[in-house]
Order: sequence, then C-alpha cells, then structure tokens
Amino acid sequence: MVNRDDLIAYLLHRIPEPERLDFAEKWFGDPDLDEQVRTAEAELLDSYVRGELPRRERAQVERYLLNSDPQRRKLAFAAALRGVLPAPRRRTIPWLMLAAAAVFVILTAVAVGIETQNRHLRSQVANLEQSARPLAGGVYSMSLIAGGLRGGAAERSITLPGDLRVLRLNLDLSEAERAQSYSATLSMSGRRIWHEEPLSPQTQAQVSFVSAWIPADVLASGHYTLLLEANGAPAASYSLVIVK
Amino acid sequence: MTDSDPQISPGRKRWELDREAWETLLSALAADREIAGQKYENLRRRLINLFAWEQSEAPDYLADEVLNRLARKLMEGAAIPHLDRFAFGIARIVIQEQNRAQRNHEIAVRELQSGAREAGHEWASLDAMQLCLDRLPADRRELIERYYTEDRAALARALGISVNALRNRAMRVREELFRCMSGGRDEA
Repeated sequence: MVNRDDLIAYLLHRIPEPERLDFAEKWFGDPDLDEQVRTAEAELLDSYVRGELPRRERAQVERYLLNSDPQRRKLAFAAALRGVLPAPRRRTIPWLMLAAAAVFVILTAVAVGIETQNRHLRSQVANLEQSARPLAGGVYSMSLIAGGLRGGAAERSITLPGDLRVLRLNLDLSEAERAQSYSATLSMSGRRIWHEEPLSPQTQAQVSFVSAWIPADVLASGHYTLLLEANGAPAASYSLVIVK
Repeated sequence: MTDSDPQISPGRKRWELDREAWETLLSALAADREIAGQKYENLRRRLINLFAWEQSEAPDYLADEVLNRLARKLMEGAAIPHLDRFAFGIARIVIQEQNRAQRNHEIAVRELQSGAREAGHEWASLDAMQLCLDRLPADRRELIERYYTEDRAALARALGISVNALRNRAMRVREELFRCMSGGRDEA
C-alpha cells in the first residue's frame, strides 16, 4: 500500500516530472494502486467542495485537478454529493460552552472597539469583489454582504459566466448572530432552490464569512433570497439577482 | 482516415477505428465478448484519468487516440503480449506530442471542450443525485449516507471495521453513484 501523502503528491504535481510518469506507469498496471489514487482524488475533491482543505492545497486542486471536462464533472459530482449528503454537525461540548461564555464577556468589549475597523474592511472587500471571480475549472467565487433580517443591503446582481459549474458565495457574517455553524437556504419566489448545512465560519483579514457552494444547474435568471440560519433561527438574509 | 488532427500533431491525419479494428481490439483484450467490453471500458477509464492528471484539456479525446493507435498496431499484425503496458507506452508518446502541440492548438481544444460542455450542462443536479441514491440497495445507501453525515471513526467502530476499510467501502459506493450520474458512461 502506498502512503496517502505520496498519492496526494502525485495528484497535486508535487513530485518531479520523470518520477510522475514512473508512478503513473505503476498505478496504470496495478488495479489496487489505481483504486487508491482514485480514492485519494475523490477525497481531495470532497474536501475541496466542503471547504476543508488548507489554502495551499485548495490552490493546487484548482491548478492541477480542474483542467478538463471529465475533471469538472468530478467536481460537480462532489458538489452535488455535498448538497444531498452534508457533513456532520459538530457536537457542542458543554465545558467549551462554559469557557466560551466567560471569554465572550471579555471579547464583547474588544469587539465593540474593532467593529468600526471591520466595517471599513468589509466595505473595502465589497468594493473589490464586484463580480464573480473565476477560480478554476468553472468554479467562480463572490462575496455577499448581509442585509440583516430586516433588509438594508442593496440587492446584488450577478451575471453568471457561460462556463460556470459551481458558484461559491462567501456570505459576510457581520450582521449575523455568531454561531459555530450555520445553514443556508436559497429561495426564489418562496420556492426552496438549494439548502446546505453545516457551514463553518472562516475569518480572513478580520472579516468573518461562511462559504456556500451552489451548482450552476440549480440557478436560473431571477431574484433570489438567501437565508442564513444558526441553531434553527434566522441569522442573516442576502438578496441577489442572477442573470444567465 | 479523417481530417487533419489539431490535437495530436499539425497536418497529421487521425486514424479512426473501423468495425474490423474494433473487433480486433476486443478480441485481443479477451476471448469472451462481455469480459472484453469490460476490459475496454476499464482501460479507457484509466487512460482518461492518466491524461486528466497530466493536465490534458481533452483527456477523453486523447484516450480514444491511444485506443485507435493500439487497434491499428493489432491490425498491422503486431504481437502485443501486454496490452496495458503497450497502451501506457502509446499514452506516454501522446503526452509528449500533446505537450508540444498544446500551445499551438488552444483554440481547437476550446472548441472541443465547448462541445462537451453543451452535452454535460444538466449533468450533476441534486435531483439526479437523489435519484441515484434512491436506486442504491438499502445497505449501500445507508453506508454512503452515514459515511458523509456521521463521525467516521465512530461509524467504523460501530461497524466493527477499520477507518481505512470504511473508506474503501464508501468510495466504491461513491464510484457506483458516479457511474449512475454518468448514465453508465464514465467511472471516476
């Protein structure tokens, strides 16, 4: 059995070219090794669409594994699988909650101080990301600013590129109740189009957000509402217009 | 023969598989027709993965090119004891040819891809995935559902198997789902 790290190194082009083809010759003629490489690739793509890969590996997946239609079909499959079979909810550990409550009191004071700065940064992010940004292999990414549950944010219009396979929406959490995980429901005229959970919050450049991965084929032109929920209660709402 | 092939090398004619060559290739793979068909699909799937992981932009097209060349060799009367090894050797040459030709033929590749995209537009809908899940036998469906939605270490313990064995079982069901989504065309 080959070390899993070696399989990942092959798939993500971390080994020199002559050795790559030598390894390719091995798996090509060995059914067990062939299955191991396919398993490693499946797990990489599952982790990619579930947002579980470190940034470096994400970039390598986008660069080396999403270059062709068969590969993009594998990605779309992994995204659909995630839509039907989401990752497990994380169990809350009581002692952690108690500690978190104590820390919360302290952090609240600090948070008030940095909120002003965050608003400025979020504004900058929103200005920078005015359109869906291509990553690779028909995957596009863009950010949405929450309008709060009572509205308030401008409706965001997105023109979908022709080669879009998966749209990653980074949902700003500044107006959302803080939680360990969220669920996202995309609706059009009150009809549920897409649901995904759990979504784990991430923080970059002091901006907290969650990423929702939406296959292109569920998106038609029209007005959409994306409702973010935490612990079964509405946490934030986003409005967007899709143009195909 | 067909028109000049922009994928392989400029100005070169692409040799296409005819019925006789196809029969020769299948006979060389196995005496039993059904087994030969399975071996053909397996060989083609490995070739597609090989080209895809070498970053080819049209791996299925190149896989067919290798199979065409393999069939032609057989038609010419070549004795090939190890078809897999021989196919890999051809693939290696195709990878080198493709690397040389790639920069000059990006437009042709894009045209090929756009055609494939049209065909795969509705490919991975949630409804299709749900349908394929529903078609699975109950035990395999339960396994894949629990694999993706529960803690894997706890699930492996509950099933009395190692996490590795659990992963292997789940990945086989995943491939079954992928084949279902592909309408039996592809394998991961």
